[in-house]
Formats: sequence, C-alpha cells, structure tokens
Amino acid sequence: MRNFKFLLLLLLPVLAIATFTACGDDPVDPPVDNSTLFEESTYSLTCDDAADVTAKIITVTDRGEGTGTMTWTADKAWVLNGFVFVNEGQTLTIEPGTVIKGKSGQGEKASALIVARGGRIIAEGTAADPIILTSEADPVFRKPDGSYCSGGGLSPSTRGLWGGLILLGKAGLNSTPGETSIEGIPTTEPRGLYGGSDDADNSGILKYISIRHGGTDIGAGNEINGLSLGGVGSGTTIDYVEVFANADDGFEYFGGTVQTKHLVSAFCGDDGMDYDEGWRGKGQFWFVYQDGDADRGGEHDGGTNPEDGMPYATPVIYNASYRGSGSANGKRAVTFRDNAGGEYHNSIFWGYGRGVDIEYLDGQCSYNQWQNGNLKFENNILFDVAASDFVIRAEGDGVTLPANAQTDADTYFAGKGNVIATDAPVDANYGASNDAANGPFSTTSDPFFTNTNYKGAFAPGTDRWTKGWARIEDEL
Amino acid sequence: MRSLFTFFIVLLAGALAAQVGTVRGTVIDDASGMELIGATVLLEDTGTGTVTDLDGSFTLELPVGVHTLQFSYVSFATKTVTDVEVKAGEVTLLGEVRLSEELVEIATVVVTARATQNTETAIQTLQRKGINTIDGISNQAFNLRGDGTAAAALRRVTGLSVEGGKYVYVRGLGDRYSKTTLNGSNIPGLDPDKNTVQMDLFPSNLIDNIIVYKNFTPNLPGDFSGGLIDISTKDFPEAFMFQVRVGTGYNPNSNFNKNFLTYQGSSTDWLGFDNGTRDFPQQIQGLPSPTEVIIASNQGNFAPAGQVTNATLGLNNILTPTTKAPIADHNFSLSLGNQTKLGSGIFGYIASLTYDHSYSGYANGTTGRYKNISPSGLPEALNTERLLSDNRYSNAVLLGGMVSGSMKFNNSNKVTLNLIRNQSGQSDARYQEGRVFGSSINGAYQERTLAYEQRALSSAQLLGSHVFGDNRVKAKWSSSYTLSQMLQPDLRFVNNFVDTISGVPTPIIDPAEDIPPTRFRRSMNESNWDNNVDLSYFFRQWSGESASIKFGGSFLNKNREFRDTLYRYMNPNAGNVGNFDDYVTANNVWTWNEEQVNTQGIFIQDFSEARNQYDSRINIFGAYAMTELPLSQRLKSIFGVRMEKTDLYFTSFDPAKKLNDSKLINAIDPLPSAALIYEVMKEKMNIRGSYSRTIARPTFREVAPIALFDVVNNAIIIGNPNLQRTLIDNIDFRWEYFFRPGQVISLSFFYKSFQNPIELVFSPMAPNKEWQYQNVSNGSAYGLEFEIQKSLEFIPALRDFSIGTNLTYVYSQVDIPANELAARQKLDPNASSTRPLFNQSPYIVNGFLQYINRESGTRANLSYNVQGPRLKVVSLIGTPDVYEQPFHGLDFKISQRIAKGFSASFAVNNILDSQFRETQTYRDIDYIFQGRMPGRSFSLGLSYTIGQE
Repeated sequence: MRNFKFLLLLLLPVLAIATFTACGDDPVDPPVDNSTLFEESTYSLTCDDAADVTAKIITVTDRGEGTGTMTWTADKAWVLNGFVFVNEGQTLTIEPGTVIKGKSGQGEKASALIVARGGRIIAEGTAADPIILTSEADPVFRKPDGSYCSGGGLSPSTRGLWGGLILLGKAGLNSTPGETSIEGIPTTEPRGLYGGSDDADNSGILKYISIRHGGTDIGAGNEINGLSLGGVGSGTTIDYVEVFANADDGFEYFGGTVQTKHLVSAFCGDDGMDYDEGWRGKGQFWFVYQDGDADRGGEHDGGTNPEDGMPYATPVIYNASYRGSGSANGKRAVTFRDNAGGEYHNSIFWGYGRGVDIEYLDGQCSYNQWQNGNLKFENNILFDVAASDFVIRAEGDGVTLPANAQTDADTYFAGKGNVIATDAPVDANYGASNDAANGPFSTTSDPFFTNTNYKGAFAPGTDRWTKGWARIEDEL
Repeated sequence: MRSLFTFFIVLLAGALAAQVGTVRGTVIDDASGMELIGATVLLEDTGTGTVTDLDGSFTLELPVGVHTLQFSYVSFATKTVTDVEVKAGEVTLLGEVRLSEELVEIATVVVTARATQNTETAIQTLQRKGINTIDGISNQAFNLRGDGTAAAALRRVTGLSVEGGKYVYVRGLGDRYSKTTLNGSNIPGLDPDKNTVQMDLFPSNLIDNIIVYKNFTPNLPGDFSGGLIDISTKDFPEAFMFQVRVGTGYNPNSNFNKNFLTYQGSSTDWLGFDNGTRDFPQQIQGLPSPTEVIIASNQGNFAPAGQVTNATLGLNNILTPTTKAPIADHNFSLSLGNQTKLGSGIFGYIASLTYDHSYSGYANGTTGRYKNISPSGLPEALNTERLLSDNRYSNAVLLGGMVSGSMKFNNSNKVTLNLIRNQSGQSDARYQEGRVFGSSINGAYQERTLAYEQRALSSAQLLGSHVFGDNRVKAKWSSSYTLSQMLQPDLRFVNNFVDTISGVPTPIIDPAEDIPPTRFRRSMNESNWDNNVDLSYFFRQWSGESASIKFGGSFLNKNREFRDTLYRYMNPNAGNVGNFDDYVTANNVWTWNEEQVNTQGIFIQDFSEARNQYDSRINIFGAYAMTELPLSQRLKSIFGVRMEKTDLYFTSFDPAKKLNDSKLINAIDPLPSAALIYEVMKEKMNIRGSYSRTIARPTFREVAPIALFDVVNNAIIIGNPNLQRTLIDNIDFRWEYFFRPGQVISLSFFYKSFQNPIELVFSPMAPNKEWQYQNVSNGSAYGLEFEIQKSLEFIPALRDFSIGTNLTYVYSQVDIPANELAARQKLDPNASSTRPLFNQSPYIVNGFLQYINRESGTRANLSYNVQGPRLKVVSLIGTPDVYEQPFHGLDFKISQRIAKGFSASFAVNNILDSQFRETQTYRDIDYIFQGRMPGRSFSLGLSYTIGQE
C-alpha cells in the first residue's frame, strides 16, 4: 500500500510536466499587415468667395510599406496620419499645387513626411502653383478650378500643429559611427537612419514648396524642423522653399552636401538656419525673418559626437538676409560652435541683441576653424545689433580666451569688408539699400553661385522672389 | 480596536483562572536542524504527555510546579530536561530541544530547562548542516541585535548589500539576479524599473525568519542567480506576545531645518496616500489638441477652446517648492499574537500595525554633466556642460498592517491565511540651480521638481502543510494573490533661466532651451498569482542515513498595466510670463473664445505617447524532481532538475508597434542542479561544491517598446520587445569551519557565466542620448567571499563582545556590442571590448562589533559597510563611464532594558558623515555626476513588550 502511494507521488510531477508541455501549442500570432492605407473622404467648406466647396481628402497611414512609387495629385488634399515614409527604392511625385496636411498629434502620433535613405521625392511646384504642406487645422484648400481657397489661414504665431518634411540621404556625416537616427525617431526604426558615403546622392527635387505651422515634438522632447536634411547629397535640388511658423528651426542640415537656393525661414520658434554634423553644402539667397519668439538667426555646429569629427562643417553661403526680432530681445545673429566652420559672404544681419560669436574652448573648436581659414566672414553688414558684433566667446567652466583673440577678431572683421551700418541696409521691400547696395562684394567662380552687385537676399528695385508663392508675403 | 483589546483581556483572564500552566517548545534533530515530527514528550514518571506536530512543536498543560520532561524519538537518544518551572496561567518556553541520533552507549542526556535556550538556533544548524548553501536570520537574531526592518537585518548577511535602505543586492549583482519571496511565494516589486522588493516594507516583529539561498536547487524558482531571499512570517507564536514601540529620529539635514523644501500636498499624505488633491482636473479628459481647437473654432464651436483654458486653469497651480521645517521623525508599531486551543486543534494568530514617518534630504548636492569634446586629442580636462547645486528633500510615510490566522487541525495538518496591506507615500521637492553651458541664454539655470509617489501592496496568501504516511511524506502548498499598485499622481517638472543681460535678473521660461514645463501622471497595477505544491518523501538510504526525494510544481501568473500620461505647458507666442510662482494665473493662460482666438498665453497640451502605455502578462509553469541523498556519512549530495516554461505576452497601445497580446518569450528551460557537501571535521568543517543553471527574465519594463525620458540621466531609455531570457551557469565552492555554535569562518569561490545577459546599451546612432536594453552576447562574474564571526569570550574582559566581518571580491565582465565597440575604437584604438556588469561592485565589505549582556539587558552594535565602485551609466563615446563611488557606512546602536518589559534604544547612522558620489574619472580627476551628503541621523526608541522579547 505504501509503495502504491509512493508511486502515485512519482506520477504527479510527470503529469504536471506533461500538462504544461501540452499547453505549449498556443495559437501563432496572426500575420502582420504592413500595407499603407489610403482612405478617401470628403470635406465641405465655405471658401473665401462664399462659395461652398467640397474637397476630396486622402488620408495616408503608413504601416511599414511607405507610400510606394506614386503621384499625389493636386485635385485632392493628402492628409498625413502619423509618420509617412517614402521607403528606399520608392519615388513619390507631387503635382504642382498639391496641398498636403498633417494630422494633429505629437510624439509617435506626430505626422510628418519622411523620405528615407534611397527614397526620392519629386515635388516641383511653380510660383503660381506652389506645393503646400500645412496643418489639418489650416483651412487652405485647392478648388477644382485650381485656385486656392485660403479660408482665412492661420496666424504666424500658430506653430507646432504637426511635424514637418524630412529628407534623409546617403551623404557623409562627421559623427560616429557615420549614420544617425533623425531626432525624435528611435534607432529602432531603421527608416529613420541617415548618413553614408555617397556625397553626390540624390533625394529628389523640392521646388516652390511652402511648409507651414509644423514643428511639433516628434518624440521625447525633440521638436522637428520645418525642413530637416539628414545626410542629403549634392544631387538633390532644393530651390524656392519656405518654412513658415515652425515651432523649432526653419531649416536644419545634419551633415551632407546638399545645396540650396531661395530659402525663406519666417516666424519660426527657434533658429532660422541651423547646421550640424558637418554640412559641406552651399547656399545662396536665404531670407530669415524672425519675431519675438525666435532664437538665433543662424546656429552652426560642427560636430556632436565627437565635436571634432571629420569632415569639418564648411558650407559656403552667399546673400543671406537675417532679420532678427529686434536689438532689445537679446538674441544672437549667428553662433559658430562645436568646431563649426563655414563662410558668409555678401550678407546682412539686422535686429539682433548680439552679432556673430565664435566659440573658443580647450581643444578643437570654431575659433581654430577661423584661425585655419575654414571660417570666413566677408563683406557682410551688421545693422541694429545691440552689442558684441563679432566676438570670440569662451565656453565652459574656467575656460579663458587666448591673449589677443578678441583684438585679432576685431582686426579681421574690419579688414574683410564688413560694415557696422548706421543706415538701414534694406528698403521697405527688403531689397538691398545704402551700404548693402554698395561694394565691396565677394565674388566666386563656383557655377552654383550667382555673382551679385548687392548684399542680402533681394536685389533692390525688383520684385522679391517670394512674390506669388510664399506665405510670408501676406505678412510683409 | 476596543473589542480587540477586550478579546485579549478575556483570553488572559481565562488563562489565569486555572491553576495550571503551559509548556511549549520545539523538538529538532540536532544533526540537521530539521523539526522532528511525532517525537514523544512525557512528564517524567507519569503517563501525561503529548507528541510533536508537523512543526516539531508541542504544547503541554501541566500543574503549577517544577517538573522534569522526557523527550524521545525512535532511534534517537532520549533527552531529559529538568527544572521546568510551570507558573499559573503562564507559558513556559523551552525553545528548541535537540535530540541526537542514538549512539550505542548513551541512553539519556540530562539538561536543565535553562540550557535548552542557549544553544545554536535551528536556522544556524540548517546553515551548517544543510546541503544547500544558505544564510539565515531568525527572529531571535533581529531581537538580539535590535534590527527594525528586514532591510536592516539583511545588511549583516554575507555578500548582501542594501541600497538606499530598501533594495537588497546579493554578491553585488544587480537586482535582476536577486529575488524575494514571502512565505515561499512571489511578491511583485513596487518599483516598475526594479526587479527587487522594497525590504523596508517588512517590520521585523512580523518576521519569523529570513533565509537567503545563494545556490539554486530545483525546489526553488529558477529566476535567481545571486540570491533568493525568503521572508517567513510568524504563524503560531509560542506565547502571548504584545509589543508597542515608539521611536523618534533626527537628522540635522531635514528635521527642524527651516530650509526644508516641501509643497502643499493632500490632507491624507500622513497616511501614505493622496486623497485626490493631486488628481488632474476633470476637463483634462479628452483634452483637444490645438489643431482640434482651431478646426472647431473656425466652425464657430468654442467649447474645445474653453476646455483647454479650463483644464489649464484647473490644474493645481503650485509649481515651486516652499520651505517649512518638519518635526522629528516618528514611528510607532504594535504587534500581538498568540495561540489558543480551538476545538481539537490550535489556532495561532498575529496582527500588527506599523507606522513610520520620516524626513530626509540634503542641500548643496552636485549635479554635473561633462563631455570629452575632443577625444582624439585627449584634452587636459572634460568640458563641463551642466553644473548645478542640488537641494532635495523628501517626506516619507509607511503604513503597514498584517493579520494572519493559522489553524493546526491536528498534529499533521495546518493551514494559514495571511493578509497584508502596506501603504507608502513619499513626497519630494527638489530645487537645482546653476549653469547650463552652451545655452543661448547667458544666465543661471533653475530647475524644480515636485513629486509624489504612493505604493500599495495587498496580499492574501493561503498556505498549507501536511504530513502523512508515518510522517514520511510532507506536502506543502501555497496560493498567493498579490495586488501592487504604484501611482505618481502629478509629477511637476519646471525649469527656467535667469537672464542678467540687462543687469536685472529676469526669469526666462523658454521651452526651446530645455524641456518645457511638464506634468506627469504614471500608474502601474500589477497582479501576481503564485501557486506552489511540494511533496517530500523521507527515507533511509542504504547505510541508514536519512534521505529524501522531492517533487513539485508551480504556476505563476503576473499581469501588469502601465499608464503614463504627460502634459506640457505650451507657450507658442513665447513672450515672458514671469516666474513659476505665479505661472498659471488667469492673466497668463491663453483664453480662447469667440472674440479672442489666438491671444497670447500658455496652455497645456497632451503629450502622452501611446507607446508608453502597455499591458503585459507572463505565465511561468514549473515542475521539478530532486533528491537529497547522503552518499556516505560524510558525503551528502543533492541533485535534480527543474523545468520552467515561460510565456510572456505583450500589448502596446501604439498600433504601430503591432503588439496585441503578442507572445514575446516562449521558452522551456531545463534547469539542472547538483551539489555535494563533504564533512571534513565532524560537526565542524565542511567543503561544499555545486553547479546549477538558472534563468533571468527581462522585466515588463524592459520588453516594453516604450521610450521614457529619464530626467536623472537626461536620456531616453527604450525597451526592447526582442529581448530573450538570460541563461546563467553557476559554479560554487565553499569551505566553512564552525568552531563554536554560531561562530564561523568560511571561504567561498563562485563563477557565473551569463549567456545573453541583458544590459543597458548606449546607442551610438542616436542623435540624443539614448539607451536600450539589449541581450549582449556573453558575460561572466567570478568572486571570492570570506566570512568570520567570532565571540571575544576568550578574552575574559570582552566575553560579551563578538566581531564579524565578511568580504566579497567579484570580477565581472560583459561584452560591449559590436557597433558600440566600433565607435569607441574609432576614437580610442585601445578601448576595451568588455566592461563590468551593470551595477556590479568589485568588492563588498561588511563588519560588525557586537556587545550583548543579557543580565543587564544591554545590547550594542557597531557596523560598517562599503561597496566598491559600480558602473551606473555608460557614457557617450570618449567620455568616461559613470561609477558610483564607495560609501563608507558606519552605524551604531545601543539598547538598554530599563524596567520589566521596557527597553530604550539610541542609534546613530552614518557616523562618518559619508558622501554619496557618482563620478566620471578622467586624467585622475573625479568629475561629480551626482553628489550629496545625506548627513548623520540619530534616533531614539522605546518599547514595551509582553512575552518573548
């Protein structure tokens, strides 16, 4: 009898093991659907001329497969529901006049259009029919006859309602390990990575584009720039692009070699123009227009990790006009730091609390870049700047400037055709005037640049190139 | 309360009425420390007597007088205990009566009743004789040393360290490799980011004993590699016991300090919970986004706009701390227990109530952030990015209650129901001020945090023990259900700069410069259902040595819900809105209505992220078979195998994560174990060796694909749904010499090999600091432990003194993942391909000097603890990693009996006034990442005890 009981005891755990092995056959998770949704709906609104309009809307939800190669047509409004990627190998073509709207939300719910590495966007608007990327809250619509229905629009202080436009490419960065995840997207999303070794990479064409009211926090405290350019190569065309009322910077370059012309950064909440991680491109005809909420006109970083990474940031910029929020507001026109180099020629900076500052610290820094000729500031005009027009600034606890650093800077500033103007360098139409219309001018044989006989973004006495398509025209 | 008191009066009166008294004790096997079931207890020369029950315990009612008792058990030498004095209505405790296996000549051993109390405790015998390597502390030991909580008691165990007075680490291994059980059942952690349990939740007067297992055997859960700490609560108190303790404490840093930072909380904070004062207003539910407000307003609907305004104004507008000097720390505890006849059985009960209210804090701590900005050039110094003076104060309340009833139906069956409720709340106020270098505002930076966190643990345990088959088969089962809840109702984090550009300090609240003002609400509910069955069969092997075979099974189910919501103050029109003292006022808040759309002002916006909300569950089935088998009289073995099946399911609220009750871990693991113990010198010296395989599972928080911003490290920490469990192979050797009862010297060696250990890994591709939990390929740890505990009685003048020390040395290493290593080596070709395990101390030193004089009722204890530098934060490439530096803790406590039942105590903690420091060392200079002086603390206590002291 006792033996029997003992046997029973032996059996119990055997039964237990058998039971749990048997319940191992759980149903397999259903297959995951990664296809992108294109959901059609309609929206009725009363237009500016009191006519009732019914607009077609396509809401795009990317569940992994991206937009695919397709064309977004101007007869519909395309609504971004969350992050919408143009995946590697795909080309998204956007017709002139198309309106794209971002849904509300932040963090991982933020809406943004992201062209991943190896993807391409062909968005060629025209001055008459620009492509508009804006918030869902912006009543702007295109009527069936092709004309706009602005519906009153949103004010320049309405920011951060959606994400922005992000281009990611294969051009080189100076950060380690040479590819990085764009701000706000965790490294676990491979489509958020940029950087490589193809400096001639081509991410497509952006022409006559207006990006409005974006810049929400797209994740863990990262506000997004109006147009973010991560590792974008020189094969890409970017001309006539406006960022209007973005919560963060207007434009930011993260490494790469892309060249840009005719940019407007207006009413943005942070810096006008920003570069980082070793951007080595070119720029001409940049217009930054800032109000009281903004920060620097230009924030220029060399590297992040490491700060002295190669290749150095050495972009060349001609004909920039940076209009700050006023000398009383204490903001800086341009900061070069973290070992950034770069060149400004024939440019105008006005309405800032402080002028240009160049960071000095122990080790490789922007001051060294200036000493080595990788940072140039020539034939520019400062006007209505409260203090510190061109300074070397010691950074960090207990760091002191080398002897004569500031004296050398003063000598350099004066010797390179720079002027602290006493008369306004722009006229009522923001065209060059007074000192800005007079030499000396930097000239270059680089075919990318147009040699001008004026300083700043706009020639005197002609229509501004922003006319007809840029939202800022309503505010000037 | 009154009726409870009446109940005891009645019980006492009933006992007094009879002219009999009670004798109680426990009969144990001298050789093993195990209870002897069915031993006979006889009043000498009479037929009056009883037999011991399944706990080895007996109760005898005897007439008043002095008696002699005889204890006998088959094949054991009979023991006679003389001078057993029985008083009317009182319980005489004999303690543990030890019987030895019969040797040929000796018939009977005679001892006096007093002598039975001065021997080694059963736990000490278990420790000495058990085949498994354990460390145990009995209730007697807590009482002897005057340890107030489980955390305090555990500090004296070899290789253990207690962090922050709460969390216990074994052999310096991270909390991932330690585990805590209550009466053998799982209890969930209250901290979602930690694996371990807050040990200060357990007042020592509820605890019967604590056993620390350092080696896995198949009857234990397989998910510990450092140590398993099992806390057993009392079930059948031997006599009526009643204790009241009151105490008070003083730390000059906090108590009566007029600079103590605090803020207005709720009227029930003193009870350990918020009464709803910190809840977010109703209007915050479904808060419309600015886009929705604009769309609605454009259509003439201003209700959403109004909701945003009202929610903004409805939030508690306190954003900055105030100062108020707190009173002294105070605590109180009450416990009682007894056993009584109930029908034909015995009913045991205990109940306790504990309240503790304490204040702590520091001023002028340091928060620093540094970076090697030119790693290839190896500059003279690290660049300081942030240097703040840190002032932080907290106010903590712990309220705990426990009721437990046990029924011993007869000598073979008992059942216990245990109900526990612990409630704790902590209010924190912090103010940091200093410089953030590189910000565009050239002035001081200020940061303020107001936080409250409450935790509740409710547990019901049903436990049973049975013996049958001539006491040769023991069955134990348990079923425990625990609900633990954590709530941070409203964490407020605000920062600003003070610009001095115009000469006048002006606060600038500029969200673009740093994190915008934010309010968090986080909650976690976790249920935990743990079921265990164990069967043991005892028999004699071929040469007559007692052996056993054990089988069992277990099922554990855990469910967690985690919610994280956060709101930020947005100020798109910027403009200066003054300071945080009057931030949320009608003047500052964006009021939207028909007339005033887009006016200036602040408003709140919902920044909660769907990916930070999750539900998760895990099922673990276990089954085992093992044997404890002496191979000879001196060589004993224990071996067996446990199978554990793990199924972890996860649901993320973010549809993009595509995790909907998806199975992330599905594994069946055989966990073998074998141990040998060889008795080199009879009763005195052992050599032990063991091998086992154990498992470490990722926590829910680690598999959750959430990206939570960690304010302390200024970094994003991301979970990883692809994490798999870690398998650990453990090898242990130990030499031990018990030269006197309770006096020991031992030397151990251990080796642990980790396959796919889970580590927090820095992601070099992230634009901002980002860490992710990853399985790195391999890791290992090996170490030496040395322990000595010795009485100084050989020096006559020091006969009441004893000293003890234990030293642990550990070398650990873990592989650095390939892409991180490549990045490191690009800058420093000599960068090491390994680093120590996270949170692993290279050495731990504990020491104590103890004075115990039973006659005068004086007890004093001086103890010292230090741990070697531990890796806390893996830094950006080229910048040194952050290590927590050794904290030299020296504590003293003395207690004195002042009258019958009354005892007073005085203690000083952190006598050396040590500094807590986390540093990065570069070119032999320590850069302080986080530093503070917790200060010395003094406490006074008074206790009144009836019954066992």
